Amino acid sequence: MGQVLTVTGLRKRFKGIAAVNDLTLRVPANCVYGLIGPNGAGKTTLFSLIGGFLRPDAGVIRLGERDLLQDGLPLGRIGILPQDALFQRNVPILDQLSFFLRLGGAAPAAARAEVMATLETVGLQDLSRRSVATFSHGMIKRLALAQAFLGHPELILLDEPTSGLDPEQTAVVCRLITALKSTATVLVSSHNLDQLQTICDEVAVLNRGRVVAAGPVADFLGAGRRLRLTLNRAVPEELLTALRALPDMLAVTVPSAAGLTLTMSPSAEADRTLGLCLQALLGQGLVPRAIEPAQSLESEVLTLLRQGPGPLPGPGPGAPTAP
Amino acid sequence: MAAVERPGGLTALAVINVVLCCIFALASLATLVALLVIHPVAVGSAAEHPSDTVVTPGADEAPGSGLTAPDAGAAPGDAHAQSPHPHHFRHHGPVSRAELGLGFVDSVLCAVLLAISAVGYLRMQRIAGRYVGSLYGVVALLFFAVEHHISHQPLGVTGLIALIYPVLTLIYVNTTFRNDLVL
Amino acid sequence: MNPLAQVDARRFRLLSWSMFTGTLRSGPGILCLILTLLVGLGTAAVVLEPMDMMLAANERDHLPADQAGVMKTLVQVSTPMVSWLVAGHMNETAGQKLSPAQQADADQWAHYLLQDRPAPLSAVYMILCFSLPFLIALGAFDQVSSDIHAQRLRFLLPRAQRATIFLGRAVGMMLFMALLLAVVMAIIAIYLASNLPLYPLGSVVGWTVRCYLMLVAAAIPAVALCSLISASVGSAFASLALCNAVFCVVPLAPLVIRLASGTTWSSIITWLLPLPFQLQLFHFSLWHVAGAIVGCLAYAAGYLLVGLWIFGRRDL
Repeated sequence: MGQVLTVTGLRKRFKGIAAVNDLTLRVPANCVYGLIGPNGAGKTTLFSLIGGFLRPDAGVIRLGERDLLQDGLPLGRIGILPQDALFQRNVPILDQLSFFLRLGGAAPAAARAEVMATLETVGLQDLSRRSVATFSHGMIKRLALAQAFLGHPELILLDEPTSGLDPEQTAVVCRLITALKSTATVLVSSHNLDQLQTICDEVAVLNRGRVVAAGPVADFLGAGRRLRLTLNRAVPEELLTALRALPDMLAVTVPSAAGLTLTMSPSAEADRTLGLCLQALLGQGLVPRAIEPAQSLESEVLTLLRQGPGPLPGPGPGAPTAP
Repeated sequence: MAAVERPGGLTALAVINVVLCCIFALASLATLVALLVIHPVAVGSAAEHPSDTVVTPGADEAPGSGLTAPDAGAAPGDAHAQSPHPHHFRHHGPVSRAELGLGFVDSVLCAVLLAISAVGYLRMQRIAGRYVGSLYGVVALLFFAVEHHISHQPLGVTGLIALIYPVLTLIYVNTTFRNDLVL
Repeated sequence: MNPLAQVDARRFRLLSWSMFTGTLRSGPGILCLILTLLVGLGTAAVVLEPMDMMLAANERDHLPADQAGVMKTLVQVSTPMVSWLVAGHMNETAGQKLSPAQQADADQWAHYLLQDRPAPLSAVYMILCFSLPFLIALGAFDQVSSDIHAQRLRFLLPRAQRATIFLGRAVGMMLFMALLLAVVMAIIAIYLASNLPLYPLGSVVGWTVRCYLMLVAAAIPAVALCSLISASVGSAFASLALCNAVFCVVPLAPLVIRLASGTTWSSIITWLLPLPFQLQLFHFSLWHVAGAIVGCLAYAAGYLLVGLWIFGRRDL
């Protein structure tokens, strides 16, 4: 089972520039936690500090009760996908990854078997006798993912795990990350916010070395399920009244002449409400040409970043706040 | 395309091979000149002046040949020209035509094998790299043994280096780099 | 937390073996081996040259070619020179002119090296001892520097402590240098034995084995210093340049300063390396030898501790 990762007051400067500036964060156990932020926000630096690659100027990092800065990393219990690290080019990947596992205490034969199984999960099992000298960027990224999963660590840090991957491989990686939740705590950063919205339980938004907002993804998206419909013509007023009266329909607004925004309660009956709404529209000859989510993590984060640090003016209780 | 990037050691071996190949090529040229020009002159001169028994210092040995350049001043088979003691490579006796011929063949063969194996190392090939490299090791050692037996020369520095490098090559291509030379 | 307490045996063994086999396969490793061989054999050839010239001269003059007699003459001629060299070294170390007792010690030392032991072997091994740091730098300069630059250590850090990585690699490199010295010295011994049958085989083997242990003791601090430099710079080329610069500058700087300013305090600079007592490894007294070994190991420990401190704190 995973442990809580706590970061308190972390600071790191590079030649006068504060890459991480009094950063505080709490990652619950057994969840997929997303880190979001623009380039230079401090995401990679935070990973490097937690992973022990960099030494912070100040602050505390704890995994459960263990102070990682004082006591060091618990060896073999943390898996890391570093952003720019290079593999050896003149050694087959099977040998390299087996060596990593053997450092963790595995016997040579068992290490090779586990490496082959892990390579199979990322689709590289046929290339085990080759080195990264002949690999594409996507293949190297998958290999780096495989090494992060080796040894079944309880905390996994993934710095942009899907960058450079094609859509099929991205989907595989997202499934792998989601499947890890039961046995590990996963901290993942990505610029693909739609992806994070799908796989993450909680997210933190970083900007200029600090956490701007953090909390469950649902809190970022606000209460309710919101859909935007683009219709073939305007909706009559009496139909609008009928739609507003539907059960679990929280609000119906008209943002444009042929547009409609539906806000439904986040309940299991919302789908039924949507079905009734569509039936009513179609009955009046109103054809939806497009249906899309009215809110997304991307739009909320962009709004946050434009606003700057401070509490998010959310729709109600449970809105994410800066720690 | 190679499955792994070439280890630095294979590149180093290839570079050393090329250097030695050039040395062998020059040695083969020198031996050829000695064979075709100098040796007949020396034999003729010894026939005209049988009382001269000067032992001249020889030129450097060609690596791997174990031989020295011909002694221009001494008559063939002159006992005073032969040193009874194991000495440094510089002091030697006259060299027969057969020894020169053997040295020429040795130099040419080693140059060719070194060149091919150098390419094999760079391309990480099994046949050109490992097999031809091993062949060079075996051939060089055989020639060394034969020439050393015929000439009865002591083990000089260049001769020793000529002995060591083939041994190193045999060890390296069949153990350390065995799994790299596979293409 | 004490970094040395973090080192565990299993990971240490894996990392040092990985370093040893990696160096065998690397370009610098092979070049180091070949160059050490060339230097050793070249030195052996140069050492034998005077004897060869004298024998050739004897033969030209129709005198008997008496190898033992020639060697005896050469040793008699060389003993005062070696005594002067050793005395100069002691003088340098002591920082003052030698007393008669110390001069007698130097004479006895020279006698031991040239007459009690095979003289050519003594000469070759002592010259090899002085050239060892430069040769070692060629093979040992890149223990961690290129991995720091390429961030390859980031795959190791979640799996092994920094101290284990640093010390494991240093020891792996020391193992490689020990193997290299064994090969080179065996070849030199075979060469000299085949060219100088006047020394009994047992004497040659015995002295070679003892000098091998002494040279390994001399190599250990050189490897450790290269570890320190490699951990301090994040570039393989800079590491190589700095290693060679240190091995060149430290011995020469006092001489240059003394010539320029006439001051003698500059000899203290040589204490940055184990130079002042390294020659004691070849002393006739086992106490001196033991002291020199302890000194070399102490220097190695000092370099490694400093390197560990730097490696433990730097960004990787």
